[in-house]
Amino acid sequence: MTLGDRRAKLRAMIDRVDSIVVGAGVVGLAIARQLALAGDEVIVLEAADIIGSGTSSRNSEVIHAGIYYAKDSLKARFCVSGKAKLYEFCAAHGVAHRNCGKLIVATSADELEVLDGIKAKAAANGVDDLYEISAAEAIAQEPALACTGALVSPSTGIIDSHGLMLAYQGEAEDHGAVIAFNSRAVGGRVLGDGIALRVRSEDGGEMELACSRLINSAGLYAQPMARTIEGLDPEKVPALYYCKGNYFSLAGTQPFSRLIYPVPASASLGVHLTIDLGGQARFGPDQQWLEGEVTDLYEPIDYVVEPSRADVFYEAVRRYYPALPDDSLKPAYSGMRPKLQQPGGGVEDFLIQGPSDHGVAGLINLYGIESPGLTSSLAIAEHVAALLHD
Amino acid sequence: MGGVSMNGLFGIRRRGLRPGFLLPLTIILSLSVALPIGEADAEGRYNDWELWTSSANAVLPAKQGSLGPFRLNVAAGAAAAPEYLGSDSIAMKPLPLVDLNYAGALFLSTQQGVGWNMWRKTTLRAGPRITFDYGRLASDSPKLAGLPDIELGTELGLFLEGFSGAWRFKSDIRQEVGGGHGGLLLNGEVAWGSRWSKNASIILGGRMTYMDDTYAESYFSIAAANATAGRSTYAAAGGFRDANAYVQLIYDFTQAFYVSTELRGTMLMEQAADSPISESDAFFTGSVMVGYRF
Repeated sequence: MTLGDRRAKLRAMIDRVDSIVVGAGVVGLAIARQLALAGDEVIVLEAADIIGSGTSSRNSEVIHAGIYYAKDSLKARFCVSGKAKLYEFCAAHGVAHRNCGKLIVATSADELEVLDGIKAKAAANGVDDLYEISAAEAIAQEPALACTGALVSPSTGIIDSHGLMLAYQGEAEDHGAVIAFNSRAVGGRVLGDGIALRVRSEDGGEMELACSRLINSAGLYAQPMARTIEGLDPEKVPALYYCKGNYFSLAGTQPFSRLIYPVPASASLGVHLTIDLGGQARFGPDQQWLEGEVTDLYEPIDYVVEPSRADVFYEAVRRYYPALPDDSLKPAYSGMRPKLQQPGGGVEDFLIQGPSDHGVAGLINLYGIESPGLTSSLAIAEHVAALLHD
Repeated sequence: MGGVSMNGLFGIRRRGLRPGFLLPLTIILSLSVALPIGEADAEGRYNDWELWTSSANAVLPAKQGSLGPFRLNVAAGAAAAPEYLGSDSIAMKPLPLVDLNYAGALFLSTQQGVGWNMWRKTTLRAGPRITFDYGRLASDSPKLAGLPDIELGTELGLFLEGFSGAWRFKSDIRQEVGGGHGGLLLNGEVAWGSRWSKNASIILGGRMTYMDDTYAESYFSIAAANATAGRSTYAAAGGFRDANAYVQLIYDFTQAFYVSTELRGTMLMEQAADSPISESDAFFTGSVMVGYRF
């Protein structure tokens, strides 16, 4: 038997499906749902034993308006269109959410000027419902607030992110999608008519699974995953940087009715105040850049929130909430952002590479899917489906 | 304990109490909690059989057993209770009860474990016993997703039970040693009982549970690795876990055949109540059982 014959036989033995989605985070599940609705046979490979255990469940759970992103960027487009789709989806599927609105607050004369730029940027993205209010008006609405002026974003909201993922999962499964938990994609190779993936189970056993379409939505592991695919030019895989975001919760009752965001700085929206659906307040995320890319896919991520970081939070939060009591901030949780830029590198866009970008038919790699990924999830899913079926 | 007759406590006096409406009312209330058809979720793993089935062997009429020195009490029923301790979702639980007692000294019971009434006086009983903790699985509720499972545990303990007229006092200490929660629990309970008709009995009681740091950490702490947007990091310390009050009604169709029902209100306390996984600090459980005593 020649090598070619062996390969042909091996290929015949390989299980094959239409589409494989790597990663059962909010974006992966939205894509799986989209493909399943379109009639694809879909398998979602998830390394963990639950959905959304990474970045998808460790964020601010905010439905973003689409204010800050560069005009015509994927983030701007997907956030604005995704927001509308998300509100509609939540209403139709009973996903808990609240369109509570937010205030972007300036705390100095200099920041007051920045608000004008934010409003113009939002308008360029199609978010034309922002309006400015004076400090007196803002404080009348939120008496605990200190500011020199504010922008109101009426379309911002909060959402039960786990409930959303469960809804995506449910609808995907209703249309035939299968989620394989404890199934880690550890390697792949490009075939003539698709891609074969090596999948490792919890007990260390491996199998090969082939598909016509592979969507790499592995979040924090998207780049390491892409680099394992033989036949994909590694030069096409962008560098990955990790930026941890820590959250602190506010003990006791909180005085705000809306989300409070400071004027953003660098690549972060700043230490903002969000309210969960239970009415509890939390502050974050900050930025804690980590060194190096994850190479050991089995190494657990350090999600410990160092209590000492609270000092920075007190200082940042008291700029707009001066009555924040001492010792009121408790370490809550942290998340990890998969960044495409180095520290100080500004705001990078989502990077979604399709066949026209890397030359591999049927392969979509999603890189740098951080905020506003949750808000954008439905729009990203539609975009990916369109790329695959072009 | 352990299926030992409680005739002396609850069965011999007929008081002036005339709560003729209480039996149907409590059964209806218990049924409404125990059988919330259409609203109950699938069975969770929080099976506190020891509490929910206690009405089924709280009152044992004076009866010459047909099994020689053995006395056997079997019952089946259902309880409605939270999916897990602290959940605000109700799940249906099947309630099996097999309570075997040998000569008043040894007992083997799904409710009370395996034990020995080592010290038996007229109004006091005490001894060692082994009980089981049924643990908790992350799959029991979406709220627990990602948390480590708490496996089935074996608890070694000592119990003490006292009687005084219509009153009963119980306490026990138990240490888990078998790969489960690993902690220590201390329970204290007081109950009052009366028979108000030839066939019907009522018991009113209250119970408090104290947990140590290890138990609190297993059941109520959230490690940083498991903390998410809806579930913050939380380090639970030992303290009172909960307090509950209950009413139990037992109706004997014959000397052997009975129905028992219980309605219990529980309030989580201290660090258990403050845990991010505790969606509801106060909840009701209800159970109904039908049984037969051999």
